Amino acid sequence: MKSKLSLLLFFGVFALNTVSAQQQGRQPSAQFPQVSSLLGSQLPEVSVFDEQGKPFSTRQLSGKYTVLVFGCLT
Amino acid sequence: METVAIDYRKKGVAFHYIYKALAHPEHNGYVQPFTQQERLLHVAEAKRTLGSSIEWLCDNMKNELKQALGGAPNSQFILDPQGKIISASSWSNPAELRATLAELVGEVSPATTVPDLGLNQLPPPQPAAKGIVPRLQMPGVMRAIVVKPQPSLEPYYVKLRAEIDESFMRDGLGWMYIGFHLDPLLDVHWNNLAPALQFKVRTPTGITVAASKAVAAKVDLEADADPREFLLGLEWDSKELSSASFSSAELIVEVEYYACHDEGWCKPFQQSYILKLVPDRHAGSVRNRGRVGGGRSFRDR
Repeated sequence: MKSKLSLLLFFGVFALNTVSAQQQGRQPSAQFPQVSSLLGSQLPEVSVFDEQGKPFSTRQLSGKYTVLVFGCLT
Repeated sequence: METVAIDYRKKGVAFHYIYKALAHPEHNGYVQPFTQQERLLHVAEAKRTLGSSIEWLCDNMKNELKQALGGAPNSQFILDPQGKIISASSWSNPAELRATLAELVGEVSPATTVPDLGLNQLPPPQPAAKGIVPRLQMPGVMRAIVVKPQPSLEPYYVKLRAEIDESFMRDGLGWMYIGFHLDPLLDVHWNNLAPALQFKVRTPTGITVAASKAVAAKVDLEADADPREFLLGLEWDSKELSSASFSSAELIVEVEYYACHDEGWCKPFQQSYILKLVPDRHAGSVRNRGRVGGGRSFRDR
C-alpha cells in the first residue's frame, strides 16, 4: 500500500499541469425528472425561515397563486 | 423574474425566491455557509446585490425544501391558492412563467421591461488582495465530499472545502483536495505576518493519506484573501476497511490559522472538521476555479 501511495506526492501549493476539474457544463433539466413529477401534488410541509430568520412553514403559502424560484448567490 | 413579479403582484400573485446551498461555490468569492445564520447572511447579500423586490425564504440546513421539490438548483414552481403545484420547471424561465401566469390570471399589458426597473444592483464584497497565491490545478474531475465543522465558539472565518478525485472513487487510490477559503461575508483576511495556516489529518484504519500534516507557503504580502489549498495522495485498503464501513469512516482535520478582521482585530483560531469520503450532493461544483467572477450568476437569470 505504501509503495502505491508513494507514487502520489504531496503537493503543498504546487500546481499540477493537468486537466482542470471545472469543465462540467450546466446541469441539464433532464437530470431532474423529479421536478415535473411533482405536478398536481400538494406542496410538502417543510419548516424554513423568512428573511429575518423567523421560522416559516410552507403551509403559509396558500390563499393565492404563488411563484417559487430556487436560487442562491452563485 | 423581477419584471414578472412586478406585473403579476398587481394580479394578486405572490413571489418568493428560495435560498438554497450554493450551486457554484467560489463564484464572486462566496463560500458555502456552515450555519443557518450564515445562510441568512447570504440571503441579505443576495438582496443587496440583486436589488430585487422579491421576498426570500431560506431553506433549512437539512435542505429539506430543495429535496422535497426535486433537488434542482434553479427550479420554478407555481402553486394554486390551495397549495397544489400546478406548474413545475426544473430550470427557471421568466418568459414561460409570464405566459403561464397570463393564462391563469390574465395578461398584463404593457409588460414591465428590465430597463423600466432601474434595479440598484451592487457588486460583491471586495476582499483583501486576491491572485497572490497561485491556485492549484486539479488532477481530474473532482467531487465535493461531506465536511462537518465541529462545534466552535468562534465563527468559521475560514471554511474548509474538501473534494476527492474520480480515480479515488473508482480505484481507491487518488487525490483529496483540501481548500481553506476565507468567508467574504465575515470581513476577514489572512494575517501573513503571523505563522501560516497549518493543519493535521487523522485517518481511520484502512485509509492512508500521503501527508498527515502540512503548512501553507509563506506569503510575502502582509494580507491577502486567497484560499490555502493542498492536494493529498489518498489510498483506501479494502482489506482493512470494508466497503460496508467505508461510507461511515471519518477523517479528522484540525486547522490553525491567524485571521484579521477588516476593521481591527487579529486572532489565532483552532478549528476542526470531520470529513466523510462520500459525495455531498448539496456542496455544489466549483467552476473556473480561481477565476474571479467565473461562471454564471443568479443575477443573470
